[in-house]
Amino acid sequence: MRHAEERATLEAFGSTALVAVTDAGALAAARAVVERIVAEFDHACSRFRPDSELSAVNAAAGAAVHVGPVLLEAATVALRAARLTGGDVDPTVGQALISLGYDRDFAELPVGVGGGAAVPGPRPLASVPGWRTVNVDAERSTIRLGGGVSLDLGATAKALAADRAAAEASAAAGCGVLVSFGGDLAIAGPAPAEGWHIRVTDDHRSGFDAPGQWISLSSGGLATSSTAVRQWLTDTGTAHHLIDPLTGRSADSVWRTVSVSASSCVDANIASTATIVRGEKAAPWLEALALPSRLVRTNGTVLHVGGWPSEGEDLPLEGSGSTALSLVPEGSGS
Amino acid sequence: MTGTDDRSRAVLGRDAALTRVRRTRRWVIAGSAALTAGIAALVSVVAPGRSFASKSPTGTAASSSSSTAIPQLPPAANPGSLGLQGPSQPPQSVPSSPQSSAPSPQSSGGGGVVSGGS
Repeated sequence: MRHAEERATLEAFGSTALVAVTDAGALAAARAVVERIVAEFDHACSRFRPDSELSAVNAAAGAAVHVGPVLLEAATVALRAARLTGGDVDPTVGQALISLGYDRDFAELPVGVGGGAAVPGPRPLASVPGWRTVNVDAERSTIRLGGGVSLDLGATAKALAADRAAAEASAAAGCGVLVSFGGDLAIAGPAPAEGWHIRVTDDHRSGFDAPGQWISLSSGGLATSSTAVRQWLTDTGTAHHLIDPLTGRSADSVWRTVSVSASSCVDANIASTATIVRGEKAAPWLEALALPSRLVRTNGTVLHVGGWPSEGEDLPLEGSGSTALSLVPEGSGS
Repeated sequence: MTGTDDRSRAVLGRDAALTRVRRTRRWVIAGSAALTAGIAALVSVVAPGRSFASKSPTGTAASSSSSTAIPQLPPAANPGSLGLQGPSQPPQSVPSSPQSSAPSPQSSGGGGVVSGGS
């Protein structure tokens, strides 16, 4: 059955959001749900809003802070991400990001050479304390951080918001819904007959003609992490927002862009972020987890693993499946 | 004569002592058996499913159900405790076509959406 798709775009979480529905008449209802959830997550999880719940937790200096259900769940999801990735996706990178200059909404950073953001002045690098310094008490609805710890939930909270928004919007609108927050997307309800067509590329702001690949997706979530976007200049060079918890610096990855399909946007986001941090070792990890993934190297070649389709790929294909993985050197990391 | 009487008294005393020993031993054996039986009965009542448990109504139920009940499975794991989950349907390729007829956001199924870094 062919539906009459309709869509709307809006600003959310410092990037572009999109809500698409399979029933054009249901767009307003779906959009209203998405806007409500964006507002809820922004108030709960923004590190840049002084009135957010997260800002209160970060400023509590080791004291337990009572929080609402959204931040409680977002923090729980972030800790799950850290546990499942052995700490490669760690929510305690807040202070490291601040020390790199990412201390306000990205759009408000000073503009540097080439139009990119620039952070003047030397700043001491901060280490990442580690996710075990975070205590989430679900029964008391409190979060307590170790002294000097600052949370950044950006990696997983946005994906969680996409999952919630798609599910609730689909229920409210009574049709299939796709919600994308900055290129991390979640699908709920019946998809169009041919699936949702998605252009996978480096930058979610790109047009459909940007180098990449068209795929079709009918359920679950898809997330893309890239070191090619959200960059800024520092005294020591270019930085990006994907932090390696071992160094407290932007991850020096062999991958430029990683896209992962999973049962949810959260799981896809965890895997794509961890892959940037892990480097070469991530390819067999994704394969073992049966997570269809597209990995673009910094040299522009692309690797497909976990059942990701190869047809229609614009970039030079390095290989796929076990053949490609045999090229991965043992013990090499990020 | 005196020596003979003394010997007789000694024999009688020995026989009486042996009799007491045998009687005491019987009591000890009987008491041990009774005590063992008592403890066994107590344990069978306290621990459901034992042979004497059928004497109590609750014991009967426990005993009969234990022989036919399906073993209890552990509670289902919370999804949050599981590992990363793959999609129920993997991504599908969109039929490759020349640039002029590539999938467009308005004409293809579900429209086009861009997934990229942000």
